Amino acid sequence: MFDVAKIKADFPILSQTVQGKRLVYLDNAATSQKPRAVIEAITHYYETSNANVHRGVHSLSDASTHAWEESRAQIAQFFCADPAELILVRNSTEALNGIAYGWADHNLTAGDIIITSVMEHHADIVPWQQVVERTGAQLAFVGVDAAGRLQTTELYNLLEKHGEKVKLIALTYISNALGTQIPLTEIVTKLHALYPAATTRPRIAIDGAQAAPHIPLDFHKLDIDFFAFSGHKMLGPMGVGGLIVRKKLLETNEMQPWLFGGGMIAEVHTAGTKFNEDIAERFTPGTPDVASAVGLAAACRYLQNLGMQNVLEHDQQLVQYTIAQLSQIPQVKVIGPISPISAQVARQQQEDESGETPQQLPVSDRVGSVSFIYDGVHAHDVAQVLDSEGVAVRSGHHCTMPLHETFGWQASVRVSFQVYNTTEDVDQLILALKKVAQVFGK
Amino acid sequence: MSQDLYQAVILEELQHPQNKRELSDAAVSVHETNSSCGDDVTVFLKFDATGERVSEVGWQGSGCAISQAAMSLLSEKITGMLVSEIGSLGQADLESMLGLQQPIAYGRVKCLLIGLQAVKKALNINLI
Repeated sequence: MFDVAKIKADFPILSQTVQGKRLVYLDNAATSQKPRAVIEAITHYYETSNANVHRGVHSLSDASTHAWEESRAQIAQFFCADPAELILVRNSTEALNGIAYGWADHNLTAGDIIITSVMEHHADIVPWQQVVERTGAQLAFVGVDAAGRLQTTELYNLLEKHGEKVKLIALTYISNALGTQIPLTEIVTKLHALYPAATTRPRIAIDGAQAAPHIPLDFHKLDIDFFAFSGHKMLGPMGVGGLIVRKKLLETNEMQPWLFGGGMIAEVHTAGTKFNEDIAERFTPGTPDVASAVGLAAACRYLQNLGMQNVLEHDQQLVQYTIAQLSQIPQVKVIGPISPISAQVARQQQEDESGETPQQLPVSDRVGSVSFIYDGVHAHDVAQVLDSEGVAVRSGHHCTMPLHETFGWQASVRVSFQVYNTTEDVDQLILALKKVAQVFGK
Repeated sequence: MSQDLYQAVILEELQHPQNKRELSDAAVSVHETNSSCGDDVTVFLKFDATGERVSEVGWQGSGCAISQAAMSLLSEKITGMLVSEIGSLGQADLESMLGLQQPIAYGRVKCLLIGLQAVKKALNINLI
């Protein structure tokens, strides 16, 4: 497959020590590190091509505009989307707010229903609560089962009960707190069966912040209306992300601009304004962050060179290895889906013992992270002790308070992966966890 | 940092928290939560006859070691203190009470301060 040692060498930040120990960065669901190719692409842009886009006739402006358009095309291609469908924003949060302001405010009225789940990141809950306040629509939550999987039956029951009153379904593709991947294809198929006419079918918005870094994605094949992602979680710079919108919604003005100013206009008169015919420009008011777009395009190229199927398989090996290792610590309770993965790990161990090369493991519905609770020690204290051993993890509620309330968890510890992580990183984590018992006597 | 952070003083407070009890006849009580990590404390205060001095402190709560140890030490510290003196307590005082040699990490400031915030709210002192 791919050579992780070689990949790791591409990330300058990872060669440092923390607290005198080798840095093991396992907080990738919060933000990923950046390869040299991304850092250099940003520097190169500022050193050679910086000027405002679409405004000047001079050569530098032309170079900058080329960099901007080529980067947009590269990023769109990563998601198998049309560049015209890609609105570059700051991050997933801004993308989801864009759906709220640019679509929901124009299309929802009192009595309409938005469906989301208790597993969502706050960024996929709070904007809808605000839409409810502005439009009088209602917000319904789908629950998760004991293993942390979306209760799709609840979702389908809600759809059958409320029919055409449901206007939007907003779900995370992969939970940032549990790693659960929802059965999106099944949900979309069911949606088509329940609503044969596209005009009455609820729009489906996917929070793809945790999916974009880990799984192959095809926006058109997914057959969804909105896809939100953050560049910084997929090896790109902070400050750039995207909202991909089904072209038809843009062409019919069902989705409208929500920020206004220069660049997005065709004509401005004191009596009024006509927006830009070019869909992408209509949604890009003001000077865009060209350098970050260039950096994100470089990140997309980097991931594509590795191959997203390889990236996913690498992730699955780490997820399964981590669950197997954590399960051997009595004080640790892994939360989120584990059952099918345990079976896979057992099979791999069997293969290992029989001396045969383990076959490629099937992909599970847990991607990108493994979260756990340490009995008797608060997650923040666990994370602090791990830090003293050079291991960076996330602790807290991970911006998923409704999920934590559902299960009665005060906080949890999350271990999350990227292409540069290895089983040795997980081993250092497991070793560091033993120190928690020493410090707290638990 | 954590090797320094979890010193005997913090671990002792965790094992044997001081004044951790509800005061049913408290003059004032305040419940405070730290949404970033789910810490919560409730502080109960009683005053002397002048009303200017805290005569008894009780508290209940759950959360991380820093929040609970800081609350425990604070409850002992402010017993018998003038309300005006409590108003001048801040982050540095708590760090020193916990025996920390350097300022606490940004991510733990809220944990450290939750107890003091509750006390100041109970005393109607403007929060820092």
